Amino acid sequence: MRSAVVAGDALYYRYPGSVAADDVLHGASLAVAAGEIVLVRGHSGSGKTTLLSVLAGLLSPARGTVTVTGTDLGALDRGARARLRLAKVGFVFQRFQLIAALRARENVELVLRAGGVAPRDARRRSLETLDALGLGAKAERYPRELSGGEQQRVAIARALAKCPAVIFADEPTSSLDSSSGAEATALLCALARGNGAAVVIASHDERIAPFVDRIVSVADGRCG
Amino acid sequence: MRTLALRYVFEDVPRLVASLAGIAFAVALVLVQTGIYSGFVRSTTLLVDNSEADLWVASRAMSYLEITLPVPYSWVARIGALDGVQHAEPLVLRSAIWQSSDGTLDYIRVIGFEPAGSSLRLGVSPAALTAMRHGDVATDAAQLASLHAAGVGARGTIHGLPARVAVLTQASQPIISPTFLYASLDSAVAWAPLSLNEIMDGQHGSGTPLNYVLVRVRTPGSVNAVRAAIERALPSARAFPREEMAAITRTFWVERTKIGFLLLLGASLGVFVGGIVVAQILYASVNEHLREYGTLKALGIGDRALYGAIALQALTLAVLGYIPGLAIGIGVAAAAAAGRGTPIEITPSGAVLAFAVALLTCIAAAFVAVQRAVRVDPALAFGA
Ligand SMILES: Nc1ncnc2c1ncn2[C@@H]1O[C@H](COP(=O)(O)OP(=O)(O)O)[C@@H](O)[C@H]1O
Ligand SMILES: [Mg+2]
Repeated sequence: MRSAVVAGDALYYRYPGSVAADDVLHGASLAVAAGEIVLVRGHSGSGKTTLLSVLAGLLSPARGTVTVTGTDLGALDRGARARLRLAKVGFVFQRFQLIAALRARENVELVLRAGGVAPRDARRRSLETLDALGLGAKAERYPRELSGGEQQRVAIARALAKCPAVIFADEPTSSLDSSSGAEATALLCALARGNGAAVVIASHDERIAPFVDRIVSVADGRCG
Repeated sequence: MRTLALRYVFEDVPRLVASLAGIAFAVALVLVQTGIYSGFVRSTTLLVDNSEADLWVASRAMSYLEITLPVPYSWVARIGALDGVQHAEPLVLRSAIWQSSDGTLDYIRVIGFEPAGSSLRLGVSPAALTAMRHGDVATDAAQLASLHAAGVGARGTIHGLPARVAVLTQASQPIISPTFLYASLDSAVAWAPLSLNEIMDGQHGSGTPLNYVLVRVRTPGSVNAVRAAIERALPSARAFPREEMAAITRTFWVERTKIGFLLLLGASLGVFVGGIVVAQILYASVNEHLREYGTLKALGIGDRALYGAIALQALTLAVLGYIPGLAIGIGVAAAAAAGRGTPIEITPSGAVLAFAVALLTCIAAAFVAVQRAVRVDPALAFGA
């Protein structure tokens, strides 16, 4: 197997204030290679979101290690983890979490600019990515002027534009009722594959299964 | 991030207006308070500043401009005869009571001088002053109300003797002093003879006892030499260069009235209130966008970028609030000058200070608010 872009090994995680029996992650391990697309399945409350958060460095595991592009997150402080995320990690959040005060294009530009891309290049890449997702004509709209499906595609563009090493997508279809969510996810998979990015999707949506390389199930805080 | 920071500032107009009002309030207060301070401080030395005398000769015992012991009239001639002296003139400062024609009383300070060749500049032509006759007074236009005088020609009595307003002067009335009436030496002495105490304490010889002898030197560089010559010739005299005389008087009033402290207190309260308003508003704005800050942090945007964004918001608010604040301050100063003749001096340094205060207030307020944004948990972004 190719070397893993993101790897979690024997992860334990418990939310603050809960007891040992409530360990959400209980020795979970997952490694994803460059260009590989993995679907993490599991019933609601099984710990999918928690696993993604730990792998992305948003939560620190009680035990176990996470490496992203070979860097051990446990060895980094908060600021360094943030810089690593900015440089290497793309996110598609369950509720998209677009910034309401920014236009679609500006939402995408924001992470590029924060990552040090020059304004002109950031604008160009932002427009290209939105174009690739079929949103070229709506790049100047604010999130509230877009449908849910369109917002999701802006969120996907935001994750893809910086060509990250890994993209985490949490329930990308769950806030959309039509089939557009699954279509957009398929598009995400195709574009990420083209970039050679690893993708980890947490979802129980069966329609996503055909687009992924591997499916893992989460149960009892472990991946199977 | 800069775009976003500015969008956050401008997205909520009522909130923006409220914070600008808070800043403008603080700025205007600082401007007005520093303006009152400089106006007051400058006004305490108005008489000194209005004279072109190089040296003020007084009794050794002088405490400040308005409290000194009399010196003999003969000093005028003795000082005038010294090398390097171009002109020596007498000045008396007496307290008295003016009674207007309708019987109203006003506490006055009579400044007696010899208009011909005098170094006093009162904002009117010297000819108008030399044309004054016995019993005529010159006074600041702003004091007419206090004297119950309708204008030039108004009559009253001082110490039972007739007096008449003959000339209206400009910028010649200190804020906290009684009404200044400028008159010829003879009139002044007739209206307000020295008290017995003053005569007993003074070591004067013959002639009218004076308070000061004002001296102009022949060559500008010779002030110190002439000063030494005067103090040598008259051991009981002290000669103060104009700036030193002004400084002594200024210091006396500043310390005596604690005005600096009082105004500082007022200004601080204003700044404090303005700062609370701005902090409260920025905090509300951060709170409203907490989830978005969480998203930004999850995306990997660091604390430094957040601090930068909030600092930009603070700077924007400071600049936008400063402009109306400056306008209000200048407006208040103009209104005060027109209404009561009270000088509120908006100085460039006061304006710079007010901007610095606005900026620091906004930064402090932003710093308080940003703590909330920095502490937000980035894992919030994944939450449903
Ligand atoms: N912030 C939190 N504090 C405490 N418990 C939490 C928190 N978030 C999730 N949990 C709990 O952790 C478990 C796993 O949640 P999650 O990872 O969100 O599951 P999934 O994404 O598979 O639905 C659930 O039992 C949930 O109640
Ligand atoms: Mg979940």
